[in-house]
Amino acid sequence: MNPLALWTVVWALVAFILAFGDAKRRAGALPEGTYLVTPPKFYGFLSALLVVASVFVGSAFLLVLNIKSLMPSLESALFALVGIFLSWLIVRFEGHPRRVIEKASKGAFALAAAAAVIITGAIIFLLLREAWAFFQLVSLEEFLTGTVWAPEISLSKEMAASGQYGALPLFCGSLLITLIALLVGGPLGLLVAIYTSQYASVKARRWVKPAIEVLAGIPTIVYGFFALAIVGPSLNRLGEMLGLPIAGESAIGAGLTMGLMILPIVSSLSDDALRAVPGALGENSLALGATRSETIKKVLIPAAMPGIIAAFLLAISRAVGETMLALMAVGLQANLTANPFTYVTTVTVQIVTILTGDQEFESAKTLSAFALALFLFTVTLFLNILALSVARWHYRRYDA
Amino acid sequence: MNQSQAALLKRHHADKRFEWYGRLASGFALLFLLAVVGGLLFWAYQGFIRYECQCDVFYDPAHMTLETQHDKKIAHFKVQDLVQPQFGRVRINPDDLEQILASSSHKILFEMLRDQPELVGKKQALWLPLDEEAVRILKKSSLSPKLSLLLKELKTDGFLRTVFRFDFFVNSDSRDPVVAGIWSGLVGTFYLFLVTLAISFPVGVAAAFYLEELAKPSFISRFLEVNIANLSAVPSVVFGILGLALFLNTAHLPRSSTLVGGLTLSLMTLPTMIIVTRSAIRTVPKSIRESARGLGASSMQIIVHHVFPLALPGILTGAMIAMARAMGETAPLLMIGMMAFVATPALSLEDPSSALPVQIYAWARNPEAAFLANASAALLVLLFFVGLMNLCAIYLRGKYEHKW
Repeated sequence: MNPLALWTVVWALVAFILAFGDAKRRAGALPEGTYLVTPPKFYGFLSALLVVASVFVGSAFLLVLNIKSLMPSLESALFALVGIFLSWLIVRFEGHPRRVIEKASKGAFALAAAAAVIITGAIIFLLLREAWAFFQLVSLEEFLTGTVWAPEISLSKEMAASGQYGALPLFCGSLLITLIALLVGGPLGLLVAIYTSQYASVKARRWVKPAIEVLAGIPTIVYGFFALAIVGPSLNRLGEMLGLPIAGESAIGAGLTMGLMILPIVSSLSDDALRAVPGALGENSLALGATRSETIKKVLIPAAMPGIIAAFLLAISRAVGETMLALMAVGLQANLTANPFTYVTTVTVQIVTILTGDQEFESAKTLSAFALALFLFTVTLFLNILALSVARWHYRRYDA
Repeated sequence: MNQSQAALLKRHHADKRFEWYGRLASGFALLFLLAVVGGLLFWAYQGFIRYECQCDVFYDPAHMTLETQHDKKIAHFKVQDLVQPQFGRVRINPDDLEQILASSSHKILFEMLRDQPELVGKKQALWLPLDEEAVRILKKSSLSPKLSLLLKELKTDGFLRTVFRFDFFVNSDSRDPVVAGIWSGLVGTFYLFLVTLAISFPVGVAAAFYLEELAKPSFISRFLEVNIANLSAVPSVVFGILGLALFLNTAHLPRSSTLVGGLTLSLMTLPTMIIVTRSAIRTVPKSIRESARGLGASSMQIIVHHVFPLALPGILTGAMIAMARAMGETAPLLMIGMMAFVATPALSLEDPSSALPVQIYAWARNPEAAFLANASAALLVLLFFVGLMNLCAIYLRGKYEHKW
């Protein structure tokens, strides 16, 4: 442990004991039936807090002024004295250490809440800055419409042009896999939601719902392994039997597995949406003589449509941003195709491969990963905002 | 039967059919769950067992060159020279022996000699691991008919055995799939768990209390809420990029360390942590806050003395689930360079380390089939821990949940 931190802890403890003892003594000296507004321990907390804060600020100051620290014990003792003096001032003039501590904690809590905004801000700033640098080297038009993705290892900035950065094949690859996933996971998930929310007995529901939630809690690397070790080879063999060439790392294998991965997302969110529809709507329809399936198809689903759309949008967002499954089930070679039986690659796979390989900063290859990430971030953010606003509108409609 | 009755019957049939679609879809989802678990178990079985062959080893000084390094005797030898070719009635020439025995046999004998130098010149019966290629030949004789015949005879004569690989849990990663283990990955994941929990739990809980209890409804708190909801759905790979740029390229923290991995995972887990804590706080009824307020408590006292203890079981449940998700996460760890081959477990937060999911990914990508079996065995261990954390969460919820 570094000596400065050790000394800080020591001084903070000393300050706590001093202030606490002093307050305790004063509390004892008060006449019978009266007491301090603030319990003595808060006096201790306040001075310990201020000691830590002043040592921290003081050392930071020294660091900024570039003064070499000679004796951590002496320096920290000096700063600690300042902290104790401050706490004496506060007690003397403000009088309520608890109030000061509460205000400080509120500030700390607000700072914690602001952390989320800071993270978002950092992501946006970083991606924009690096993507901007990338678009100085490669034009936006080439990036969005170019059909060849072949990032080469460029040794210098001048040679950056040797790689080709047309990201269209990557976008199409991601889109193709997401589409297959949606075709598999969407209808299946919706049917599961209809079953669990409308048809299933209480007992069946109690078993089916948790099982599907288990499916949602499985780490994505498990799905990746499943696609790599089981789905891929099986499809390959099936293709051989049918005389259809299916690559071991085909879009269809990744898409199928991803469809099963997004199934629980679609089903649990659609289930919520269906159950949020007021019971009277369905009962009225049944009373008019509609069968249950007619009620579901013509009354409940239209009524729950925004919620279901939100579920699909969130599922798409998950599928587009999914990395591990794609990384394990999809190849690295870019391929602009709509044929699900051949190899493709996705945006996420390219980001990971570029940034995990040997990288020099500021090369077009490294920067291209940031441009791809910016694209990915924008798309998923857009999908999420859309889904959240659609869902909010939906739930407000029935919130009477 | 008249026309309207027929129409009604048709509608009822359609209704039944629709119900069955739902049943089939649910059944299919459950079947898939079984397939994942079953497939994993099938593969993991091969990763958990090891074939061993009983060999007579003669530490013949004639086949060794001894060398002294740092007061220790180091022996140079070839495994096939020390292992006696006669196995009961079967005789195996050294070239075949080299193919049959795993390359890690050398390490085993080497360590034997290093620790017990008195063995030189003596004979010893040892179980040495079989090479993964030999295991495959044993199962599929068409790969090499000659070796397959030898192995089958060894098997019928009782020179082969399968053992459960306890060393899978205590060995670290290795180039030889037969002795590679998950210990370094487990240690790395444990450190990651500590760092992530230590950062994301306090910050997430504080943020959630601020949003639920302290913030006045305003444009800013509304903005914070939307921000957190959106942040929780940002792809993990983007968080990996943030960690790479922030902690490695800007702060210059040690690459591949669990410190950086934990920090990156904390960024990713924070929004989830805030969301689950908020929903736990919301289950505490308003009357508690109002009674405390009526007795003169400040808002901070209400939080610390009343709402937090009452919401704690819910908060812990949510935190467990969020942590379980974080521990299965792989992509952000790949981005900050935890992909490197690490043969020794990390001793501190700043050492280069591996993590269980990353090790699984590395093994699954390895062209040797035996590594795929190892990967699935490691996956089973990962699933076990993730499931255990989720079970803990369910248990906590059941035990301490308040019914208001």
